[in-house]
Amino acid sequence: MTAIEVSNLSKSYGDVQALRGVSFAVQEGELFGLIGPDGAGKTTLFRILTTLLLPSSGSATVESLDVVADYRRLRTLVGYMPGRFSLYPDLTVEENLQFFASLFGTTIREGYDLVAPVYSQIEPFRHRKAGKLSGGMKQKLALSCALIHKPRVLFLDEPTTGVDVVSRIEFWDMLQSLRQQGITILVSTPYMDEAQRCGRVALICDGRLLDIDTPEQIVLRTGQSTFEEAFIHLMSQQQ
Amino acid sequence: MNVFASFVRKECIHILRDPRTMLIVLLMPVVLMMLFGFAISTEIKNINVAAVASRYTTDVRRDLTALEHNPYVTFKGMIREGEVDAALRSGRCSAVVLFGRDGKRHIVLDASNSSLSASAAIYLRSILTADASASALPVTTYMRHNPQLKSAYNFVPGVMGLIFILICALMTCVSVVREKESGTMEVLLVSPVRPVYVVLAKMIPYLVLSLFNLATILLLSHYVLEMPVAGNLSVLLILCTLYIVLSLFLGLFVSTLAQSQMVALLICAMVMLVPMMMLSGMMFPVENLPPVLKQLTFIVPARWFNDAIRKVMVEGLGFAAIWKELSILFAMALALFVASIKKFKDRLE
Repeated sequence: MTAIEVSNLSKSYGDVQALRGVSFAVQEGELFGLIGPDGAGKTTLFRILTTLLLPSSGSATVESLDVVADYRRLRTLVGYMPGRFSLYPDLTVEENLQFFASLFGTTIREGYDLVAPVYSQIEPFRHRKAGKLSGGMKQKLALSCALIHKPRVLFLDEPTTGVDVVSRIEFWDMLQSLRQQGITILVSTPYMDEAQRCGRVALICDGRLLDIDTPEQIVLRTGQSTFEEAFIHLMSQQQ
Repeated sequence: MNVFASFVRKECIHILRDPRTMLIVLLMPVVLMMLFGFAISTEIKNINVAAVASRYTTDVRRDLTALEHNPYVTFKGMIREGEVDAALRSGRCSAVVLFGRDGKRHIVLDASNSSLSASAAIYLRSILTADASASALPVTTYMRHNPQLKSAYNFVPGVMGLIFILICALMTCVSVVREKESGTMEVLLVSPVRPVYVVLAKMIPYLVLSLFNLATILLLSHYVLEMPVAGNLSVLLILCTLYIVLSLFLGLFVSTLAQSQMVALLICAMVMLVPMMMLSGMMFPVENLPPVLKQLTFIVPARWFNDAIRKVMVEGLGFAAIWKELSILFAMALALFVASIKKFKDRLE
C-alpha cells in the first residue's frame, strides 16, 4: 500500500522556485531517503507533507489523506522532526517527552515500547534540561518526541546534521529497527554515505528529482563506482 | 493528563524557570505605582498666600484667620496694594487675596503653572467661602470626593489602568511569537492541538501572576498612596480582573500577528503606551480633547477602565453605575480573544 504519494508538486516563494513538479510514491513500511545538497528543496517538501505549508500546485497524500484538505486528521497520524532542534530548552528531557505525549492525548508509558530503544539511551539524563544536552542526545530526544504517539509515518528532516559519526551510525540503526516495526519513514540527508542505509532514495537538486531507485541500482545504472560519484554524474547531466 | 492541563503546566514551567523576568514582572508595578503616585503630583501641598486689606472688618479678620490656620496654606502676611505684582513675580507668594472696600474679595494668582494655579484658586475659594452664612460672596464651591484635590485620586486609577495593560500585554505579547522564533511552533502545529487551547493555555499562568500584581497594586494604593476604596471591593476586583484578562488577550493578539519578539515588544511598548496615556483620561480629561481624539478614546480600553474605577474607588458606586463600562470591556476582551484565535496561523505561512 502507498503511504506517501506526491504528484507534480510545486512550491514557490515569490520569485524563488523551491520545488518544480516533484512526483514520487513511498510504500508502507519503507525507509525512503531524500538525498540532495543544501537548498535543494528538501525542507520545503517536508513542510508540505507535514501540512505546514500549502503547495503552489500539484497534490500530495499521506496515508491516503490529502495534505491540504485533511490536514487536521493527518496531524494525528504523522511524526515530524524538523531540521532545527525544536524542543523546549528550559524543559527537562522527561518534561519535553511528557508534553508531546499529552499533546496527542497519550502518555509516556503508553508509547514507551516504541520509543524505548531510543529513549532508554537518554533516560539517565531525564532530569537534565533539553538545552543542556549534547547534539546527539538532542536528536535522540527529538526522535523520541516525534515517536511517542506511535505515528504511522515519520518525517525526519536532516536528523543527522551536526551529529558526530558514532551517534549518526546509532541513529540509522534505530531507524532500521523502527522500519521493521512497520513505520514508514521519510528521511532527508545531505550526506551521500547515509543514502546506502535507505531502502530506496530520491535524489533531489534545485527542486527537481533526478532519480528514484535503490542506491545500488542508481550506482549500477550510472556506471559509477560509488554513490557519491553517481550523484555528481546525475547532477552534471541535469545541467 | 489532558492536553490543556499539560499545556498550562508547560507555560508555568517557562515562567518559573526564568526568575529574572518574573522578578521584573512583579517589581515593575510597584516601582511604577510609587513613581506615579509620589513623583507626579499636581495636588496643593503648600500655597504661599499674601493678603491686601484696607479695613479690618470682622469678615476680613475671620477670613485671615481661616487662611492662617489652614494646613495647606502658608500665610505670608499683609502687603500693600502696590506690591502685589512684585510679590507674585518674585515668587514670594503664588496667590494674593485682595479684600476690597466694598466687601468683595478677589484672588490674584501667579498662573505660570496653570494647572497648579487653577487648583489653588479653587482651593482658596473654598477656604474663603467656607463660612457661607457670613460670606459676602454668593459663590459656593463644593469639592466632592476629593476636597483637597489630591492628585492620587486622579492618578492612581489612571496609573492602574496603564500598568495593567502595559505589564499584561508585554508578558503575553512574546509568548506565541517566541515559539515561532525558536521553531517549537513547527512541531506544535504538527499535532492535533487547537489554536484556542494554545491561546487560553498561554493566558492562564499570566493571569495568576497579574492577580498577584493586582493585590500589590491595590494594597500599595490604599495604604501608601492613601487611595480610598469607597465602593464594594468585590465590584472593584471583578472590574480589575476583567481588565487584566482583556490586556492579556491584547498581548496575545499582538503575538499572533508579530513575526519576531522584538516587533511584538515594540508594538506593545511604543505603539500602545503613548495613546494609552494620552487618550485614557489619565493625563488629560477626555472631555477636554478635540472631537477627533475624543472619538478615538472609545476604542482605548484604559479610558473605560479609568471611568469605571473612579466611580468604584473614589465615588463608591456599585455595579449599576459601571454597567456600561463593564459591558464594553467585556466586549473588547471577547473581540480580542476571537481575533487572536482567528489570526493564529495554523500553518507556517
